[in-house]
Amino acid sequence: MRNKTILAAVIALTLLIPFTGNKYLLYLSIKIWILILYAIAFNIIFGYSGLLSFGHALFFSGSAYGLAILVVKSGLPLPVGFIAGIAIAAVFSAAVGFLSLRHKEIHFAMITLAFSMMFWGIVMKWRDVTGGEDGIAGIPRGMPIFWFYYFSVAVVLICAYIIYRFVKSDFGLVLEGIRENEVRVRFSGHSTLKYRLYATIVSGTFTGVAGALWTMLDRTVTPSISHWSFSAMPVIATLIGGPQNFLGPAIGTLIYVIAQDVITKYTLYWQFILGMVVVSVVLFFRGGVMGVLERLFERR
Amino acid sequence: MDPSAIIFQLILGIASAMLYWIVSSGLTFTFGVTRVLNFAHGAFYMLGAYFTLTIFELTQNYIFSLFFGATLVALIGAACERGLISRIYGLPVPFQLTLTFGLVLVFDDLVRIFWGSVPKMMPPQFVGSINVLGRALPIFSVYLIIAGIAIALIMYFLLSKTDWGMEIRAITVDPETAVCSGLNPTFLYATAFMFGSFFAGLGGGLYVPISSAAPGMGEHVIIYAFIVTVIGGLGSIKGAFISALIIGIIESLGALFVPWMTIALPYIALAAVLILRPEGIFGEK
Repeated sequence: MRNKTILAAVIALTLLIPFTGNKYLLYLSIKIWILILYAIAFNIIFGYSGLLSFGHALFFSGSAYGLAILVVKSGLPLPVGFIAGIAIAAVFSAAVGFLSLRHKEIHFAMITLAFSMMFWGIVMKWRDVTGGEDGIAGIPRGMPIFWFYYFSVAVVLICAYIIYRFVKSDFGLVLEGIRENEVRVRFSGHSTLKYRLYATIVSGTFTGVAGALWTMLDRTVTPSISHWSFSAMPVIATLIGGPQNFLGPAIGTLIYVIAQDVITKYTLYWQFILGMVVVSVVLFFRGGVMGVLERLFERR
Repeated sequence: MDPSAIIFQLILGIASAMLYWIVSSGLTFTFGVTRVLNFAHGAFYMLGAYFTLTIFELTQNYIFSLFFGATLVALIGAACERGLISRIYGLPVPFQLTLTFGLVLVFDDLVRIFWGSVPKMMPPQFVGSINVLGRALPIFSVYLIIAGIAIALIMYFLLSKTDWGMEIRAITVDPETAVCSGLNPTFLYATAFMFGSFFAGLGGGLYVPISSAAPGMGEHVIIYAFIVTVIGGLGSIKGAFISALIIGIIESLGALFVPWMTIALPYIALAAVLILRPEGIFGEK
Protein backbone atom coordinates (compact mmCIF):
# COMPACT_ATOMS: atom_id res chain seq x y z
CA MET A 1 0.00 0.00 0.00
CA ARG A 2 2.75 2.40 1.00
CA ASN A 3 4.64 1.53 -2.18
CA LYS A 4 1.64 2.50 -4.29
CA THR A 5 1.36 5.84 -2.52
CA ILE A 6 5.03 6.58 -3.19
CA LEU A 7 4.64 5.58 -6.83
CA ALA A 8 1.56 7.78 -7.27
CA ALA A 9 3.36 10.70 -5.63
CA VAL A 10 6.39 10.32 -7.91
CA ILE A 11 4.19 10.16 -11.01
CA ALA A 12 2.22 13.21 -9.84
CA LEU A 13 5.47 15.12 -9.35
CA THR A 14 6.67 14.30 -12.88
CA LEU A 15 3.46 15.84 -14.21
CA LEU A 16 4.87 19.22 -13.19
CA ILE A 17 7.90 18.87 -15.50
CA PRO A 18 6.36 20.76 -18.47
CA PHE A 19 5.80 23.81 -16.22
CA THR A 20 9.54 24.22 -15.63
CA GLY A 21 9.75 25.54 -19.19
CA ASN A 22 13.04 23.70 -19.70
CA LYS A 23 12.78 22.29 -23.23
CA TYR A 24 15.68 19.87 -22.83
CA LEU A 25 14.39 18.48 -19.56
CA LEU A 26 11.00 18.03 -21.17
CA TYR A 27 12.47 16.19 -24.16
CA LEU A 28 14.57 13.97 -21.92
CA SER A 29 11.60 13.15 -19.68
CA ILE A 30 9.43 12.09 -22.62
CA LYS A 31 12.31 9.97 -23.88
CA ILE A 32 12.56 8.28 -20.47
CA TRP A 33 8.80 7.58 -20.38
CA ILE A 34 8.93 6.01 -23.83
CA LEU A 35 11.99 3.91 -23.04
CA ILE A 36 10.33 2.79 -19.80
CA LEU A 37 7.44 1.41 -21.85
CA TYR A 38 9.97 -0.23 -24.19
CA ALA A 39 11.74 -1.94 -21.26
CA ILE A 40 8.53 -3.01 -19.49
CA ALA A 41 7.16 -4.48 -22.72
CA PHE A 42 10.47 -6.25 -23.37
CA ASN A 43 10.46 -7.69 -19.87
CA ILE A 44 7.17 -9.55 -20.48
CA ILE A 45 9.09 -12.24 -22.33
CA PHE A 46 12.44 -11.73 -20.59
CA GLY A 47 11.61 -11.49 -16.91
CA TYR A 48 8.31 -13.37 -16.94
CA SER A 49 8.86 -16.14 -19.46
CA GLY A 50 12.65 -16.31 -19.31
CA LEU A 51 13.35 -15.77 -23.01
CA LEU A 52 16.09 -13.34 -23.97
CA SER A 53 15.07 -11.46 -27.10
CA PHE A 54 17.95 -9.78 -28.82
CA GLY A 55 15.78 -8.28 -31.50
CA HIS A 56 13.17 -6.06 -29.91
CA ALA A 57 14.47 -3.21 -32.05
CA LEU A 58 12.54 -4.93 -34.86
CA PHE A 59 9.18 -4.22 -33.23
CA PHE A 60 10.23 -0.77 -32.06
CA SER A 61 11.53 0.35 -35.44
CA GLY A 62 8.90 -1.59 -37.38
CA SER A 63 6.25 0.57 -35.79
CA ALA A 64 8.37 3.73 -36.05
CA TYR A 65 9.05 3.21 -39.76
CA GLY A 66 5.46 2.15 -40.40
CA LEU A 67 4.18 5.39 -38.94
CA ALA A 68 6.79 7.50 -40.71
CA ILE A 69 6.22 5.92 -44.13
CA LEU A 70 2.43 6.04 -43.94
CA VAL A 71 2.27 9.59 -42.66
CA VAL A 72 5.12 11.24 -44.59
CA LYS A 73 5.19 9.23 -47.82
CA SER A 74 1.55 8.21 -48.16
CA GLY A 75 0.10 11.30 -46.55
CA LEU A 76 -2.23 9.48 -44.16
CA PRO A 77 -3.42 11.28 -41.02
CA LEU A 78 -1.26 10.90 -37.93
CA PRO A 79 -3.71 8.86 -35.79
CA VAL A 80 -4.08 6.34 -38.63
CA GLY A 81 -0.29 6.08 -38.88
CA PHE A 82 -0.04 5.66 -35.12
CA ILE A 83 -2.50 2.74 -35.06
CA ALA A 84 -1.04 1.23 -38.24
CA GLY A 85 2.49 1.40 -36.82
CA ILE A 86 1.40 -0.52 -33.74
CA ALA A 87 -0.44 -3.03 -35.93
CA ILE A 88 2.75 -3.58 -37.92
CA ALA A 89 4.66 -4.28 -34.71
CA ALA A 90 1.95 -6.77 -33.73
CA VAL A 91 2.19 -8.55 -37.09
CA PHE A 92 6.00 -8.63 -36.89
CA SER A 93 5.93 -10.06 -33.38
CA ALA A 94 3.38 -12.70 -34.38
CA ALA A 95 5.58 -13.75 -37.30
CA VAL A 96 8.80 -13.78 -35.26
CA GLY A 97 7.06 -15.51 -32.38
CA PHE A 98 5.67 -18.19 -34.68
CA LEU A 99 9.03 -18.85 -36.33
CA SER A 100 11.12 -18.85 -33.16
CA LEU A 101 8.80 -20.73 -30.81
CA ARG A 102 10.85 -23.88 -30.76
CA HIS A 103 13.96 -22.05 -29.64
CA LYS A 104 15.24 -21.33 -26.20
CA GLU A 105 18.11 -19.48 -24.59
CA ILE A 106 20.94 -18.69 -27.01
CA HIS A 107 19.06 -19.87 -30.05
CA PHE A 108 16.07 -17.67 -29.25
CA ALA A 109 18.40 -14.70 -28.78
CA MET A 110 20.08 -15.47 -32.10
CA ILE A 111 16.94 -15.93 -34.17
CA THR A 112 15.41 -12.71 -32.87
CA LEU A 113 18.72 -11.00 -33.63
CA ALA A 114 18.66 -12.43 -37.16
CA PHE A 115 15.15 -11.14 -37.90
CA SER A 116 15.80 -7.69 -36.51
CA MET A 117 19.04 -7.34 -38.44
CA MET A 118 17.30 -8.46 -41.63
CA PHE A 119 14.91 -5.58 -41.13
CA TRP A 120 17.89 -3.30 -40.50
CA GLY A 121 19.37 -4.47 -43.81
CA ILE A 122 16.11 -3.68 -45.60
CA VAL A 123 15.91 -0.24 -43.97
CA MET A 124 19.48 0.54 -44.97
CA LYS A 125 19.08 -0.57 -48.58
CA TRP A 126 15.51 0.23 -49.60
CA ARG A 127 16.27 3.89 -50.04
CA ASP A 128 13.11 4.81 -52.00
CA VAL A 129 10.85 3.85 -49.13
CA THR A 130 12.92 4.11 -45.96
CA GLY A 131 15.40 6.81 -46.91
CA GLY A 132 18.37 4.51 -46.27
CA GLU A 133 20.93 5.80 -43.83
CA ASP A 134 19.36 9.27 -43.77
CA GLY A 135 16.03 7.94 -42.58
CA ILE A 136 12.78 9.87 -42.86
CA ALA A 137 12.33 13.39 -41.56
CA GLY A 138 9.35 15.68 -41.17
CA ILE A 139 7.03 13.47 -39.15
CA PRO A 140 4.32 15.61 -37.52
CA ARG A 141 3.90 15.51 -33.78
CA GLY A 142 0.28 16.64 -33.99
CA MET A 143 0.52 18.83 -30.89
CA PRO A 144 2.96 21.13 -29.09
CA ILE A 145 5.61 19.35 -27.03
CA PHE A 146 3.93 20.62 -23.83
CA TRP A 147 0.82 18.56 -24.56
CA PHE A 148 2.79 15.75 -26.15
CA TYR A 149 4.34 15.18 -22.74
CA TYR A 150 0.93 14.50 -21.18
CA PHE A 151 -0.13 12.43 -24.16
CA SER A 152 2.98 10.25 -23.82
CA VAL A 153 2.62 9.89 -20.07
CA ALA A 154 -1.03 8.89 -20.46
CA VAL A 155 -0.28 6.35 -23.18
CA VAL A 156 2.68 4.89 -21.27
CA LEU A 157 0.75 4.63 -18.00
CA ILE A 158 -2.28 3.01 -19.63
CA CYS A 159 -0.05 0.51 -21.47
CA ALA A 160 1.96 -0.19 -18.31
CA TYR A 161 -1.27 -0.84 -16.39
CA ILE A 162 -2.52 -3.26 -19.08
CA ILE A 163 0.86 -5.05 -19.03
CA TYR A 164 0.70 -5.17 -15.24
CA ARG A 165 -2.73 -6.79 -15.30
CA PHE A 166 -1.50 -9.14 -18.00
CA VAL A 167 1.56 -10.44 -16.15
CA LYS A 168 -0.29 -10.66 -12.83
CA SER A 169 -3.14 -12.66 -14.39
CA ASP A 170 -3.37 -16.45 -14.55
CA PHE A 171 -1.77 -16.14 -17.95
CA GLY A 172 1.26 -14.41 -16.44
CA LEU A 173 1.48 -17.09 -13.78
CA VAL A 174 1.69 -19.80 -16.43
CA LEU A 175 4.43 -17.76 -18.14
CA GLU A 176 6.42 -17.71 -14.91
CA GLY A 177 5.80 -21.41 -14.60
CA ILE A 178 7.30 -21.93 -18.06
CA ARG A 179 10.33 -19.95 -16.98
CA GLU A 180 10.82 -22.05 -13.86
CA ASN A 181 10.00 -25.48 -15.24
CA GLU A 182 8.67 -25.85 -18.73
CA VAL A 183 8.17 -29.61 -18.58
CA ARG A 184 5.88 -29.39 -15.56
CA VAL A 185 3.75 -26.72 -17.17
CA ARG A 186 3.37 -28.93 -20.22
CA PHE A 187 2.38 -31.87 -18.02
CA SER A 188 -0.29 -29.77 -16.40
CA GLY A 189 -1.96 -29.52 -19.78
CA HIS A 190 -0.89 -26.09 -21.03
CA SER A 191 0.52 -25.58 -24.50
CA THR A 192 3.75 -23.76 -23.67
CA LEU A 193 4.19 -22.82 -27.32
CA LYS A 194 0.85 -21.02 -27.40
CA TYR A 195 1.62 -19.10 -24.21
CA ARG A 196 5.00 -18.09 -25.57
CA LEU A 197 3.51 -16.93 -28.83
CA TYR A 198 0.89 -14.77 -27.09
CA ALA A 199 3.49 -13.34 -24.74
CA THR A 200 5.72 -12.43 -27.68
CA ILE A 201 2.82 -10.74 -29.47
CA VAL A 202 1.82 -8.71 -26.39
CA SER A 203 5.44 -7.75 -25.80
CA GLY A 204 6.01 -6.80 -29.43
CA THR A 205 2.79 -4.81 -29.71
CA PHE A 206 3.53 -2.63 -26.69
CA THR A 207 7.09 -2.20 -27.94
CA GLY A 208 5.43 -0.91 -31.08
CA VAL A 209 3.50 1.69 -29.05
CA ALA A 210 6.82 2.90 -27.67
CA GLY A 211 8.27 3.01 -31.19
CA ALA A 212 5.36 5.08 -32.52
CA LEU A 213 5.67 7.58 -29.65
CA TRP A 214 9.42 7.80 -30.23
CA THR A 215 8.94 8.72 -33.90
CA MET A 216 6.49 11.48 -32.97
CA LEU A 217 8.88 12.82 -30.35
CA ASP A 218 11.97 12.84 -32.56
CA ARG A 219 10.03 13.69 -35.75
CA THR A 220 12.62 11.64 -37.66
CA VAL A 221 13.48 7.97 -37.93
CA THR A 222 16.97 6.65 -38.69
CA PRO A 223 18.24 3.07 -39.02
CA SER A 224 20.00 3.34 -35.65
CA ILE A 225 16.76 2.28 -33.95
CA SER A 226 16.71 -0.96 -35.98
CA HIS A 227 20.27 -1.90 -35.17
CA TRP A 228 20.91 -4.68 -32.65
CA SER A 229 22.57 -2.27 -30.24
CA PHE A 230 19.15 -0.70 -29.75
CA SER A 231 17.86 -4.15 -28.79
CA ALA A 232 20.61 -4.40 -26.17
CA MET A 233 19.39 -1.28 -24.37
CA PRO A 234 16.28 -2.74 -22.69
CA VAL A 235 18.31 -5.85 -21.78
CA ILE A 236 20.85 -3.78 -19.88
CA ALA A 237 18.27 -1.45 -18.35
CA THR A 238 16.16 -4.39 -17.19
CA LEU A 239 19.14 -6.13 -15.62
CA ILE A 240 20.17 -2.97 -13.78
CA GLY A 241 16.65 -2.47 -12.46
CA GLY A 242 15.82 -6.10 -11.82
CA PRO A 243 13.90 -8.40 -14.17
CA GLN A 244 11.91 -10.18 -11.46
CA ASN A 245 10.05 -7.05 -10.40
CA PHE A 246 7.42 -5.32 -12.51
CA LEU A 247 8.94 -1.89 -11.91
CA GLY A 248 12.52 -3.15 -12.29
CA PRO A 249 12.81 -2.28 -16.00
CA ALA A 250 11.36 1.19 -15.33
CA ILE A 251 13.85 1.93 -12.57
CA GLY A 252 16.66 0.52 -14.69
CA THR A 253 15.72 2.71 -17.66
CA LEU A 254 15.55 5.77 -15.46
CA ILE A 255 19.03 5.06 -14.10
CA TYR A 256 20.39 4.19 -17.54
CA VAL A 257 19.17 7.32 -19.33
CA ILE A 258 19.91 9.76 -16.50
CA ALA A 259 23.35 8.26 -15.90
CA GLN A 260 24.12 8.46 -19.61
CA ASP A 261 22.99 12.07 -19.71
CA VAL A 262 24.90 13.11 -16.59
CA ILE A 263 28.09 11.13 -17.22
CA THR A 264 28.46 12.35 -20.81
CA LYS A 265 28.52 15.90 -19.45
CA TYR A 266 31.72 15.12 -17.55
CA THR A 267 33.50 12.52 -19.60
CA LEU A 268 33.46 11.10 -23.10
CA TYR A 269 34.00 7.65 -21.69
CA TRP A 270 30.55 6.91 -20.34
CA GLN A 271 30.52 3.42 -21.86
CA PHE A 272 33.39 2.50 -19.58
CA ILE A 273 31.35 3.35 -16.50
CA LEU A 274 28.23 1.68 -17.91
CA GLY A 275 30.28 -1.45 -18.65
CA MET A 276 31.62 -1.51 -15.09
CA VAL A 277 28.07 -1.15 -13.74
CA VAL A 278 26.80 -3.97 -15.94
CA VAL A 279 29.66 -6.27 -14.92
CA SER A 280 29.16 -5.61 -11.21
CA VAL A 281 25.37 -6.01 -11.47
CA VAL A 282 25.84 -9.47 -12.98
CA LEU A 283 28.52 -10.45 -10.48
CA PHE A 284 27.04 -9.06 -7.27
CA PHE A 285 23.43 -7.87 -7.66
CA ARG A 286 21.69 -10.34 -9.90
CA GLY A 287 18.28 -9.10 -8.74
CA GLY A 288 19.14 -5.57 -9.86
CA VAL A 289 18.21 -2.44 -7.92
CA MET A 290 14.73 -3.76 -7.09
CA GLY A 291 16.23 -7.01 -5.85
CA VAL A 292 18.49 -5.07 -3.47
CA LEU A 293 15.58 -2.92 -2.27
CA GLU A 294 13.36 -5.95 -1.72
CA ARG A 295 16.05 -7.60 0.37
CA LEU A 296 16.50 -4.43 2.44
CA PHE A 297 12.78 -4.18 3.21
CA GLU A 298 12.46 -7.87 4.02
CA ARG A 299 15.14 -7.64 6.65
CA ARG A 300 13.19 -5.12 8.69
CA MET B 1 27.92 -13.51 -66.55
CA ASP B 2 31.60 -14.10 -67.19
CA PRO B 3 32.54 -17.37 -65.39
CA SER B 4 36.02 -16.08 -64.56
CA ALA B 5 34.40 -13.23 -62.62
CA ILE B 6 32.43 -15.77 -60.58
CA ILE B 7 35.51 -17.86 -59.79
CA PHE B 8 37.48 -14.75 -58.88
CA GLN B 9 34.71 -13.56 -56.58
CA LEU B 10 34.57 -17.05 -55.08
CA ILE B 11 38.26 -16.91 -54.15
CA LEU B 12 37.79 -13.50 -52.52
CA GLY B 13 34.80 -14.96 -50.66
CA ILE B 14 36.90 -17.84 -49.38
CA ALA B 15 39.57 -15.38 -48.22
CA SER B 16 37.07 -13.40 -46.15
CA ALA B 17 35.55 -16.70 -44.99
CA MET B 18 38.97 -17.58 -43.54
CA LEU B 19 38.92 -14.40 -41.46
CA TYR B 20 35.44 -15.30 -40.16
CA TRP B 21 36.67 -18.82 -39.49
CA ILE B 22 39.72 -17.72 -37.50
CA VAL B 23 37.62 -15.49 -35.24
CA SER B 24 34.73 -17.96 -34.93
CA SER B 25 37.01 -20.91 -34.22
CA GLY B 26 38.05 -19.28 -30.95
CA LEU B 27 34.47 -18.38 -30.07
CA THR B 28 32.99 -21.79 -30.73
CA PHE B 29 35.92 -23.49 -29.01
CA THR B 30 35.55 -21.52 -25.78
CA PHE B 31 31.80 -22.06 -25.91
CA GLY B 32 32.24 -25.80 -26.36
CA VAL B 33 34.48 -26.05 -23.31
CA THR B 34 33.09 -23.47 -20.90
CA ARG B 35 29.46 -23.19 -22.15
CA VAL B 36 29.74 -19.41 -22.07
CA LEU B 37 28.93 -17.47 -25.22
CA ASN B 38 31.52 -14.75 -25.00
CA PHE B 39 30.43 -11.37 -26.35
CA ALA B 40 33.85 -9.98 -25.39
CA HIS B 41 35.42 -12.18 -28.06
CA GLY B 42 34.83 -9.26 -30.43
CA ALA B 43 36.61 -6.94 -28.02
CA PHE B 44 39.59 -9.32 -28.01
CA TYR B 45 39.57 -9.15 -31.80
CA MET B 46 39.72 -5.36 -31.57
CA LEU B 47 42.56 -5.54 -29.04
CA GLY B 48 44.44 -7.89 -31.37
CA ALA B 49 44.14 -5.31 -34.15
CA TYR B 50 45.44 -2.48 -31.96
CA PHE B 51 48.26 -4.51 -30.42
CA THR B 52 49.46 -5.69 -33.81
CA LEU B 53 49.37 -2.14 -35.11
CA THR B 54 51.30 -0.66 -32.21
CA ILE B 55 53.90 -3.41 -32.04
CA PHE B 56 54.35 -3.08 -35.78
CA GLU B 57 55.05 0.64 -35.38
CA LEU B 58 57.80 -0.27 -32.90
CA THR B 59 59.36 -3.27 -34.63
CA GLN B 60 58.36 -2.97 -38.30
CA ASN B 61 57.95 -6.74 -38.34
CA TYR B 62 54.39 -7.75 -39.20
CA ILE B 63 54.56 -11.49 -38.51
CA PHE B 64 56.19 -10.89 -35.13
CA SER B 65 53.63 -8.19 -34.23
CA LEU B 66 50.80 -10.47 -35.26
CA PHE B 67 51.84 -13.32 -32.98
CA PHE B 68 53.05 -11.16 -30.11
CA GLY B 69 49.81 -9.15 -30.25
CA ALA B 70 47.68 -12.29 -30.28
CA THR B 71 49.66 -13.67 -27.33
CA LEU B 72 49.00 -10.51 -25.33
CA VAL B 73 45.31 -10.84 -26.16
CA ALA B 74 45.42 -14.47 -25.00
CA LEU B 75 46.85 -13.34 -21.65
CA ILE B 76 44.13 -10.69 -21.28
CA GLY B 77 41.57 -13.35 -22.15
CA ALA B 78 42.94 -15.64 -19.45
CA ALA B 79 42.86 -12.79 -16.93
CA CYS B 80 39.21 -12.06 -17.79
CA GLU B 81 38.36 -15.73 -17.43
CA ARG B 82 40.04 -16.03 -14.04
CA GLY B 83 38.75 -12.75 -12.66
CA LEU B 84 35.24 -12.49 -14.08
CA ILE B 85 33.95 -15.13 -16.44
CA SER B 86 34.82 -18.08 -14.20
CA ARG B 87 32.29 -16.66 -11.73
CA ILE B 88 29.37 -16.93 -14.13
CA TYR B 89 29.74 -20.54 -15.29
CA GLY B 90 26.37 -22.22 -15.03
CA LEU B 91 24.35 -19.00 -14.77
CA PRO B 92 21.47 -18.45 -17.22
CA VAL B 93 22.50 -17.26 -20.68
CA PRO B 94 21.22 -13.67 -20.31
CA PHE B 95 23.63 -13.07 -17.43
CA GLN B 96 26.56 -14.49 -19.37
CA LEU B 97 25.75 -12.42 -22.44
CA THR B 98 25.32 -9.22 -20.45
CA LEU B 99 28.47 -9.61 -18.37
CA THR B 100 30.58 -10.17 -21.45
CA PHE B 101 28.72 -7.34 -23.21
CA GLY B 102 29.71 -5.12 -20.27
CA LEU B 103 33.32 -6.09 -20.97
CA VAL B 104 32.87 -5.00 -24.58
CA LEU B 105 31.78 -1.53 -23.42
CA VAL B 106 34.76 -1.30 -21.07
CA PHE B 107 37.32 -2.41 -23.65
CA ASP B 108 35.84 -0.10 -26.31
CA ASP B 109 36.40 2.91 -24.07
CA LEU B 110 39.84 1.73 -22.93
CA VAL B 111 40.86 1.60 -26.57
CA ARG B 112 39.48 5.13 -27.04
CA ILE B 113 41.52 6.31 -24.07
CA PHE B 114 44.79 4.73 -25.23
CA TRP B 115 44.53 5.04 -29.00
CA GLY B 116 41.93 7.76 -29.55
CA SER B 117 38.54 7.57 -31.30
CA VAL B 118 39.90 8.06 -34.82
CA PRO B 119 40.43 4.83 -36.77
CA LYS B 120 44.11 3.94 -37.07
CA MET B 121 45.72 2.53 -40.19
CA MET B 122 48.87 0.59 -40.74
CA PRO B 123 50.82 0.18 -43.99
CA PRO B 124 49.45 -2.65 -46.14
CA GLN B 125 51.36 -5.90 -45.87
CA PHE B 126 52.30 -8.40 -48.57
CA VAL B 127 51.48 -5.93 -51.30
CA GLY B 128 51.27 -7.32 -54.79
CA SER B 129 49.01 -9.65 -56.63
CA ILE B 130 49.01 -12.82 -58.62
CA ASN B 131 47.28 -13.34 -61.91
CA VAL B 132 44.15 -15.49 -61.67
CA LEU B 133 42.20 -15.91 -64.89
CA GLY B 134 43.42 -12.56 -66.09
CA ARG B 135 42.47 -10.72 -62.90
CA ALA B 136 44.76 -9.43 -60.17
CA LEU B 137 44.18 -11.36 -56.96
CA PRO B 138 45.78 -9.63 -53.94
CA ILE B 139 48.53 -11.79 -52.53
CA PHE B 140 47.22 -11.02 -49.05
CA SER B 141 44.03 -12.97 -49.81
CA VAL B 142 46.14 -15.96 -50.82
CA TYR B 143 48.06 -15.79 -47.54
CA LEU B 144 44.78 -15.43 -45.65
CA ILE B 145 43.49 -18.65 -47.19
CA ILE B 146 46.75 -20.44 -46.35
CA ALA B 147 46.63 -19.11 -42.78
CA GLY B 148 43.03 -20.24 -42.34
CA ILE B 149 43.77 -23.77 -43.50
CA ALA B 150 46.96 -23.89 -41.40
CA ILE B 151 44.99 -22.87 -38.31
CA ALA B 152 42.40 -25.54 -39.00
CA LEU B 153 45.16 -28.15 -39.20
CA ILE B 154 46.91 -26.86 -36.06
CA MET B 155 43.63 -26.94 -34.14
CA TYR B 156 42.92 -30.45 -35.33
CA PHE B 157 46.39 -31.58 -34.30
CA LEU B 158 46.30 -29.90 -30.88
CA LEU B 159 42.87 -31.24 -30.01
CA SER B 160 43.25 -34.77 -31.26
CA LYS B 161 46.94 -35.57 -30.78
CA THR B 162 48.09 -33.83 -27.61
CA ASP B 163 47.37 -34.64 -23.95
CA TRP B 164 45.99 -31.16 -23.42
CA GLY B 165 43.61 -31.58 -26.34
CA MET B 166 42.43 -34.91 -24.99
CA GLU B 167 41.80 -33.42 -21.56
CA ILE B 168 39.92 -30.51 -23.13
CA ARG B 169 37.75 -32.90 -25.08
CA ALA B 170 37.12 -34.94 -21.96
CA ILE B 171 35.99 -31.96 -19.91
CA THR B 172 33.81 -30.79 -22.79
CA VAL B 173 31.97 -34.07 -23.11
CA ASP B 174 31.56 -34.88 -19.43
CA PRO B 175 32.91 -32.35 -16.94
CA GLU B 176 32.00 -34.37 -13.85
CA THR B 177 33.71 -37.60 -14.86
CA ALA B 178 36.69 -35.65 -16.16
CA VAL B 179 37.15 -33.86 -12.85
CA CYS B 180 36.69 -37.13 -10.94
CA SER B 181 39.45 -38.72 -13.01
CA GLY B 182 41.85 -36.08 -11.76
CA LEU B 183 41.73 -33.36 -14.43
CA ASN B 184 42.16 -29.81 -13.21
CA PRO B 185 39.13 -27.80 -14.42
CA THR B 186 40.57 -24.44 -13.38
CA PHE B 187 43.65 -24.99 -15.51
CA LEU B 188 41.71 -26.39 -18.45
CA TYR B 189 39.06 -23.66 -18.53
CA ALA B 190 41.68 -20.92 -18.24
CA THR B 191 43.88 -22.39 -20.97
CA ALA B 192 40.86 -23.03 -23.20
CA PHE B 193 39.87 -19.41 -22.82
CA MET B 194 43.43 -18.31 -23.53
CA PHE B 195 43.52 -20.48 -26.62
CA GLY B 196 40.20 -19.09 -27.88
CA SER B 197 41.18 -15.48 -27.21
CA PHE B 198 44.45 -16.03 -29.07
CA PHE B 199 42.48 -16.65 -32.28
CA ALA B 200 40.35 -13.57 -31.70
CA GLY B 201 43.55 -11.54 -31.44
CA LEU B 202 45.02 -13.25 -34.48
CA GLY B 203 41.91 -12.43 -36.51
CA GLY B 204 42.13 -8.78 -35.50
CA GLY B 205 45.82 -8.65 -36.38
CA LEU B 206 45.16 -10.18 -39.79
CA TYR B 207 42.37 -7.71 -40.49
CA VAL B 208 44.27 -4.47 -39.71
CA PRO B 209 46.50 -4.29 -42.79
CA ILE B 210 43.53 -4.65 -45.16
CA SER B 211 41.41 -2.11 -43.32
CA SER B 212 41.94 -0.17 -40.09
CA ALA B 213 41.55 -0.47 -36.35
CA ALA B 214 38.68 1.45 -34.75
CA PRO B 215 36.87 1.32 -31.41
CA GLY B 216 33.71 -0.72 -31.78
CA MET B 217 35.11 -2.77 -34.67
CA GLY B 218 34.60 -5.88 -32.55
CA GLU B 219 30.85 -5.45 -32.34
CA HIS B 220 30.36 -6.00 -36.04
CA VAL B 221 32.66 -9.00 -36.03
CA ILE B 222 31.17 -10.67 -32.98
CA ILE B 223 27.73 -10.69 -34.60
CA TYR B 224 29.24 -12.40 -37.65
CA ALA B 225 31.05 -14.83 -35.39
CA PHE B 226 27.75 -15.57 -33.61
CA ILE B 227 26.11 -16.24 -36.97
CA VAL B 228 28.93 -18.54 -38.04
CA THR B 229 28.96 -20.46 -34.76
CA VAL B 230 25.20 -20.87 -34.58
CA ILE B 231 24.94 -21.99 -38.21
CA GLY B 232 27.80 -24.43 -37.74
CA GLY B 233 26.39 -25.71 -34.46
CA LEU B 234 27.41 -24.16 -31.15
CA GLY B 235 30.68 -25.67 -29.95
CA SER B 236 31.46 -27.46 -33.20
CA ILE B 237 34.82 -26.46 -34.65
CA LYS B 238 34.27 -28.37 -37.86
CA GLY B 239 30.88 -26.66 -38.15
CA ALA B 240 32.47 -23.24 -37.72
CA PHE B 241 34.87 -23.94 -40.59
CA ILE B 242 32.11 -25.06 -42.94
CA SER B 243 29.68 -22.31 -42.02
CA ALA B 244 32.37 -19.62 -42.27
CA LEU B 245 32.91 -20.84 -45.83
CA ILE B 246 29.16 -20.74 -46.48
CA ILE B 247 28.82 -17.19 -45.15
CA GLY B 248 31.92 -15.94 -46.95
CA ILE B 249 30.83 -17.45 -50.24
CA ILE B 250 27.18 -16.37 -50.17
CA GLU B 251 28.32 -12.89 -49.25
CA SER B 252 30.81 -12.61 -52.09
CA LEU B 253 28.50 -14.17 -54.67
CA GLY B 254 25.63 -12.10 -53.28
CA ALA B 255 27.67 -8.96 -53.93
CA LEU B 256 27.88 -10.09 -57.55
CA PHE B 257 24.28 -11.15 -58.17
CA VAL B 258 22.08 -9.40 -55.58
CA PRO B 259 24.14 -6.43 -54.39
CA TRP B 260 21.08 -4.71 -52.86
CA MET B 261 20.56 -7.47 -50.34
CA THR B 262 24.14 -8.48 -49.46
CA ILE B 263 23.83 -6.72 -46.13
CA ALA B 264 20.96 -9.02 -45.07
CA LEU B 265 22.24 -12.30 -46.56
CA PRO B 266 24.09 -13.63 -43.47
CA TYR B 267 21.00 -12.97 -41.34
CA ILE B 268 18.75 -14.69 -43.85
CA ALA B 269 21.09 -17.67 -43.77
CA LEU B 270 21.02 -17.68 -39.96
CA ALA B 271 17.23 -17.52 -39.80
CA ALA B 272 16.89 -20.24 -42.45
CA VAL B 273 19.24 -22.59 -40.60
CA LEU B 274 17.58 -21.94 -37.25
CA ILE B 275 14.13 -22.63 -38.66
CA LEU B 276 15.11 -25.75 -40.61
CA ARG B 277 17.77 -27.18 -38.31
CA PRO B 278 17.82 -25.37 -34.96
CA GLU B 279 20.90 -27.17 -33.62
CA GLY B 280 23.02 -26.00 -36.56
CA ILE B 281 24.72 -28.03 -39.27
CA PHE B 282 27.06 -29.98 -36.99
CA GLY B 283 25.39 -29.34 -33.65
CA GLU B 284 24.10 -31.98 -31.26
CA LYS B 285 20.42 -32.00 -30.43
